[in-house]
Amino acid sequence: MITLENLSKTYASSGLDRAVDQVSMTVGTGEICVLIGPSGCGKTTTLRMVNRLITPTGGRVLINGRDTADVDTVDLRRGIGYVIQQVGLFPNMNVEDNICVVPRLLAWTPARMRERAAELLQMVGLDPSAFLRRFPNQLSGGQQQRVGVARALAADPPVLLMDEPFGAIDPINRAAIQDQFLEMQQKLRKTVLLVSHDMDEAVKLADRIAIFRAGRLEQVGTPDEILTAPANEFVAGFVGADRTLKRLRRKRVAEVCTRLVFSLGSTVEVVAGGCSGQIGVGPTGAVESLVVDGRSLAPIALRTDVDLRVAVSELLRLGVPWLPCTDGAGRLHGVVSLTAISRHISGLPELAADGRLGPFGERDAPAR
Amino acid sequence: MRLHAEICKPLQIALVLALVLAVPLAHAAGLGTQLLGYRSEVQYLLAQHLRLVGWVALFSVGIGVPLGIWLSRPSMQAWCEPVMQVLNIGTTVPTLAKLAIAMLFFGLGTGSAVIGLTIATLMPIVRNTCVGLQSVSPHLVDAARGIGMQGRQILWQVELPNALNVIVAGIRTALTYATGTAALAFLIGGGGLGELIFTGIDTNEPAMMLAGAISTCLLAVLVDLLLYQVQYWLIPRGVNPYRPLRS
Repeated sequence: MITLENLSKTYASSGLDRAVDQVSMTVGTGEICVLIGPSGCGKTTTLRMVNRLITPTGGRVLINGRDTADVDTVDLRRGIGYVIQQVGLFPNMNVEDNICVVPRLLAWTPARMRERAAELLQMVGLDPSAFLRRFPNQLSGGQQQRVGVARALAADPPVLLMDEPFGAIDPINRAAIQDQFLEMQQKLRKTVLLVSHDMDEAVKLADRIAIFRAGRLEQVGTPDEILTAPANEFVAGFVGADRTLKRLRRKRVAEVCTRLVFSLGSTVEVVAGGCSGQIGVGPTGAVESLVVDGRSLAPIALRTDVDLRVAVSELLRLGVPWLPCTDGAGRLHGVVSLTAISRHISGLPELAADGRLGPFGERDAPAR
Repeated sequence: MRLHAEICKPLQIALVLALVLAVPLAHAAGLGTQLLGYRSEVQYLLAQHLRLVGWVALFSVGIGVPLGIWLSRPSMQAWCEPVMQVLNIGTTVPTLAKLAIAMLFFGLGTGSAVIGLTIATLMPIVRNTCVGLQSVSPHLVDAARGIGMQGRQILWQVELPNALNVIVAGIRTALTYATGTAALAFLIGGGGLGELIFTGIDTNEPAMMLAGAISTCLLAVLVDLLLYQVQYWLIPRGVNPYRPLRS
């Protein structure tokens, strides 16, 4: 757990202006907290005060209850992973030596370091046999940052500081490396402070988002809280007029779909979002035919674990009010409708309706 | 194959150079036998010359590199240019004049020659060391600090390895120059191959002069070659421009 208490930084050269002004917040263990705001808002300064690369002029930083000012700076930093946008891999060392910098400082045995480097490369999605002996200049930007993340994790620090880690990577690779980072985080449960200027990245990665302006903390909250109820006009402007669409990314089809009760190898009659249709269910539970609003479609179904952005995109692409959804094994699970999504997102109660308005509960979807 | 070619290239250049210099001269004047006649003198003076260059190398690297490192520290930023300008003066004064001044203070002999030549060669070493270290990306230092490396560890493990190419390039320039100019040391009693050159001129014996000049020249090429090898083998693989990595 990281606690910032009235954390402030004033630079002597800038007179009375505070680069960071009385910032107080708490990041729970295992949480990813994204610090975000326009350039010069103090987010990077705040991050760098956590590992004391910048010495605070006021306030305290507590990590798991211990004031970081009381810990030896070098020991403190060795216990905190640090990733920067420019990656900062040492070009004179190969990938293995780069990853093992901190373990070497901590005097691990060579065998343990070798093993750890290979394990970490595997974890960040690079083949150890191909990459351990390469040099940073032989890697692409995305590969370099994967190694950068591996280096930060080498000594298994409980806390990770990341300063725009994926900012310099092309969009396709960025999405892939973000997904992989989230997957790793599921297992590792590090406490992560991540600086970003990309709201989409923040919504995708964060458990909590902290929005900064001119050294002050404007709002802290879960992505949903911030997107639903921006604290002031600045936050509203910063998260964008399409903030409701951004919320779709954080929600899964499973949260809004309506269960269907059916028997295998039958045709299920469905009425949802004001439109009726039939879903043909195969002997294994797979969707084999689909008729929506009198139109016969290719048997398409959404998985319950995709996010609502994808779901809405598919619904709009096909021009249908609802689509069937399937579980991880490809078995029909229920239907997801635009009406259900819009009611869920706007916070209206779900209607267990008469078959015309909202989606309906299990009891309303009879198997015939 | 490729590695082999990399090592041999300077060697080839040196050989060609030696042939270009030696063959036509020897042929034209029938000097071959005359030159060989100075073999024992050359041998003796070559050893003297090498000792002289050795001392100069020891002092100029021993003083220049630490000074360059010191000047490159952020806290020394204000001092960097003034010190560099002083060293610049040391370089711009003609070497002969420097040797003469050194002689005034320290008398005749090898000591004065070593001091004069050290001052002459200090500048490229200090400047290259300082600039090489300053041009190491600040992000590397930031990353190193952020993961808990201490000042000295950052210097030895990150800054110096990444600046080594520029530093050794400075040493290479300086010492090659020192080997050639060490011929002047004879004029203040410092010995070396200059003895053959200047005596040859004074006594109007071109063969003697050439024996000294050619050996000085070859020695300078050899020193350059040797330092090329230092660059080739010493600079870490990941940043070694002489051994490019396959991407």
